[in-house]
Amino acid sequence: MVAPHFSDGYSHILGDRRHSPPTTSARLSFTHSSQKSPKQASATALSCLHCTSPLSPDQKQPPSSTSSSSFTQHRIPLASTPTPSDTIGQPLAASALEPSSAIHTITDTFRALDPTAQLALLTALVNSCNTSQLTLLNNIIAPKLKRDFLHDLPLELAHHILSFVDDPQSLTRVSQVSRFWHQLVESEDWVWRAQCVKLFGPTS
Amino acid sequence: MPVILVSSDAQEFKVDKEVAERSILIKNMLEDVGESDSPIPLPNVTAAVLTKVIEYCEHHRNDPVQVPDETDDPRKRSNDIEEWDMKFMQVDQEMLFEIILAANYLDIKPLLDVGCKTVANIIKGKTPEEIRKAFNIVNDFTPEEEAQIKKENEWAEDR
Repeated sequence: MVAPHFSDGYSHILGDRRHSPPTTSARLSFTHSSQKSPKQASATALSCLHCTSPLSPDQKQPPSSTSSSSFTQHRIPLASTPTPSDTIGQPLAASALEPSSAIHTITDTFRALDPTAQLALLTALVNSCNTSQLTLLNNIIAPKLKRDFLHDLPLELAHHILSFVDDPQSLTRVSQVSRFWHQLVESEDWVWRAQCVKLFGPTS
Repeated sequence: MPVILVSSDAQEFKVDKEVAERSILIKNMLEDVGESDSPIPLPNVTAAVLTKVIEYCEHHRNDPVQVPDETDDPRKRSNDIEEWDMKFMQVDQEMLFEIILAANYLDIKPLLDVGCKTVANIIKGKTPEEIRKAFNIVNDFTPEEEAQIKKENEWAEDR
């Protein structure tokens, strides 16, 4: 259930935002216009009692002039899915503590490094994780390191692998995995012929 | 005389001729070139994979050469992975994938077979869903298709 939060760069940040208490009025209106569940809506409405400005979901005016730049920065990652370059021009000082900007800064830095330095940075990051973060990392990484062998290998090698899958039950199960695997097994009538010889003897 | 192999990422590996010749590709190349100490480029194999392949060839340097036209009896060759090979193949799937490709390219039949058997052994005894999970495969059947195929294959499940 956690992994999908990481499927894009922002959803988990938004998730964090919704759970953390708003500290500025700008953040209040951000939360107000972006929250989704009724439960969160009521929570936000309560918080907004402290805010002097009228609240509406499409509120255009920032509640105070001092928070306007911060407001704008909140809106940018929400309104679109920016590429990392979108944030490069933004003032670093104002956004240094914002998680989304920090992520952009780190990923940009990572991409710009040479492979050896990339490994060193990754090692340092992993070493600074706690156990539950490492478990999360493992859940994200493990599926990415897997391979659909029969699909990705050249066809003759896929056939070679199937020649070692030598019982009818496994073969019928292979044919139920995906369309590609199904076609592969169906196309190999020699596999089935071998199975029939094995099951019923060479005369059948 | 040692042979120098060069990986795709330009790393050089010095190996004994008899080790290098576990690869039929390299064996044929050496025979064609004759006596020569020029490095052999292997543009399809990275250093990480070549390291593993050489480790395998070192271990099996004294094995009898497999006769190419040996009758392949599927019933006799299924699960028979020797212990050292089994441990050797305990790598992540990406490396296993690369080893299979390299063994095919370098024409090292015993290594290719061990790699393919390893994948077959992951498949065997698993339900379709367990297989999908093992290889991170998306089920792209429609529910109707899935039900239909399941029905067609019931005979094997009842055995």
